[in-house]
Amino acid sequence: MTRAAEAAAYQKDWLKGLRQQITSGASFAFVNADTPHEIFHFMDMPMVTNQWWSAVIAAKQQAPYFFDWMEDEGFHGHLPKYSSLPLVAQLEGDPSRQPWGGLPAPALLCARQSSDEHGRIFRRWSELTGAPLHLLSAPGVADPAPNWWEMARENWEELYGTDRLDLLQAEIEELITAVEDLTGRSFDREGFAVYMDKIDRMEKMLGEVSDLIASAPKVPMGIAEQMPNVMIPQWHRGSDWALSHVKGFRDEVAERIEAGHAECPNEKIRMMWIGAGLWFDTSFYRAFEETHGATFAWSMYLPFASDGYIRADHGDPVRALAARVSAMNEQLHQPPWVNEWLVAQARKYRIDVALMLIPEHDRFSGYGSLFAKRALEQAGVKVIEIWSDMVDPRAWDREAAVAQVTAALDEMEVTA
Amino acid sequence: MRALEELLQAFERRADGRNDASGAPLVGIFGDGLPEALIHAAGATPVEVKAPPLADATTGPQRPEVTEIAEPFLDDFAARFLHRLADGAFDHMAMVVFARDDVAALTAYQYATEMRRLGMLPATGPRLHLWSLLHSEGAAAERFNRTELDRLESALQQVTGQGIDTDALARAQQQEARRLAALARLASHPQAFALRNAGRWLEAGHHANLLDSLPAPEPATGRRIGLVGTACDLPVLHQLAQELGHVAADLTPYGDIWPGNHAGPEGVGALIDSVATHPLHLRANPASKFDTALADGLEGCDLVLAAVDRNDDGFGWDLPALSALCKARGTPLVMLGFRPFRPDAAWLEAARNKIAEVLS
Repeated sequence: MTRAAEAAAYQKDWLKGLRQQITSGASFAFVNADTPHEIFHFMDMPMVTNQWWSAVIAAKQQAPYFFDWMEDEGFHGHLPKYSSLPLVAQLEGDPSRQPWGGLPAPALLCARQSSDEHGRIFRRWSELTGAPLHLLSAPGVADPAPNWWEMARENWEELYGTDRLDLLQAEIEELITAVEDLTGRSFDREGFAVYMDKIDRMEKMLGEVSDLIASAPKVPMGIAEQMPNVMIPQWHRGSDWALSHVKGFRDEVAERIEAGHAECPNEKIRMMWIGAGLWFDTSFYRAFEETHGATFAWSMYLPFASDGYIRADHGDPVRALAARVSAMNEQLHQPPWVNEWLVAQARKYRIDVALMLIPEHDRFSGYGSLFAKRALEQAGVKVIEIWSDMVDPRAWDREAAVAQVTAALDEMEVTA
Repeated sequence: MRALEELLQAFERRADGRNDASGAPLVGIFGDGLPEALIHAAGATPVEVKAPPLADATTGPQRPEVTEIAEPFLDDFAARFLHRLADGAFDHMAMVVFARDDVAALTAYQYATEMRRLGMLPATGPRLHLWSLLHSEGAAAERFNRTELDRLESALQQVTGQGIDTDALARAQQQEARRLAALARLASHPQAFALRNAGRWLEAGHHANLLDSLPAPEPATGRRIGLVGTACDLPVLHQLAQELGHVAADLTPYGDIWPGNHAGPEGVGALIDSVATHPLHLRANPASKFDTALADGLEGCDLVLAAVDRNDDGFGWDLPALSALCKARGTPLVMLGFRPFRPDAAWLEAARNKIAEVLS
């Protein structure tokens, strides 16, 4: 069994346990991906992540039904889909259509106002379930440092700004109090420091894996296999299992490189996948290996583990957590952060071609795309725009997308 | 120039027509959330820059350097602003302040500053400033908003040479109060939308004087109509409403909310707190405040018209709940769908048909 399969098996078992906990009435939190999950994990409060649940529903090919229903109900068709699919499924009211037979009412809701829709989507969740809503603020960054990843690990106070960190830290403290009230447990600050240190160690190991894959002569593990190896431990970050799994993942990648393993033996073109996963059609990632020797070396999840998560605690782990969360999503989507980071990553991974997912109706993710395209092209990377949504397959035309990429790759071969 | 003519000209020419004979520096404001009185109190003249002049009826100037980085689905206000910025339309301004919580402002700010950083726009032109006032309650948000105020004052000081003067602020707020009173008297005026929003490009006291010089309008009659949806800087929905009755509540971002949302209590801190806690804002926190404000605002309406732009991320989540509310109240709600940035006759005709269908 590969490490990715082990991770998937662990996740399946864990989900069974979570489902059992939740369906037997345990209090759980329903939260967005860019919120401080660490508080819930550490306080041992079950938690379901909105975007993860969205991907689960999409992977089960249930999104089209729900999005059709959504429009029939009077929600308009241009509303963002990735963050709303779970709400729509819940509003639809037939739990048998959902994985696990749907979710019971959460005890707490938490979202960051990084995008305008989050407050409104979570307001509807709150209205539907009666759960209290914690909205974390997301003030803009007036003077964003383009080289954020070089500053974020140690020098985050300067990078994110004292006023922004004071604000988010205070809001996280309010969240801690709410979780204490719900669980009846006290927040152990010393224990939390140890836990945060374990997360940093895990993310550093993922950084080592990223370095290994970037410098390997040929890609030893494609992104479809990377993603579960990264994201499943990421959902469990800091746990003993997650640390152990990441260590094994790192060793497996190192062993493959040592053995000269190539995911695509005919590798000629190294590609990066920009954007969230194409959750309803993950086989697309391997569609160009045989025909063109084109293989995906990069998706954001692995390199972001180190750049987006490692934050030295400087004696205040809650503040370090605020630094991690403070611009988590923005760094992946907004200029100058995203364009500068993608260029640095493309150079590090020796990328030839970038496939850029542009979700028109998920503007938080879609905005900034053309800055990134311009920067990559100036760095010598060919950029292919894939206009699609991460979870809504209704307008996805696989054949057309394959033809589009094929034509671009053919053109490269001719030019070469 | 007659008062009505001057008001309508200010509404049509917008930032292009804004001059200040006093020679005070012009400070552009993109998006609601920054009280104009604060800008006055720092010795500058505020000018709304989000809504483009009506002379740019179709697209306005188109600059290739903007087209290169503006996604086709970029917010229309943000895209128009960027093209105009690149075209030098704001070169005479000392500063442009972007209200982060406005739907289009953060994107406009990020794209403008990034274009400058990359050398796609010259570094000359107005200073660009992000005003991240949180529409939240609580001590932490209040502290953060005070630091934003300090940052703003420091930036204003650099362009005007003075900070926020409390006496000047009190005088500016008095003018805001006069303007509000004048607007209240003209609420039933058939051109109320243009008369009110013209003030975005007029000094508050002068705006009040012009309004005061207009004859009192006839009392409103016919259906009481409520307007909801995303920002539209044209009286399109008003035009439709007036064919059926009168606008009793315009709860859209260019609607009745301004300038009342910027005319808070005396004193800088109290004024900022008042803006921050105003309930009729999509990013209001607690989020439930917005629903309540919307429901209260539509109380007593006989008909509600809703329209959103193609980039709406937020308001659309409230439409079914609004529909349920209207149904419970027995108030017809007409969903007009996506409203183009500059609606044409065909869109208006389709809207009329939808309204007729619901009312039949």
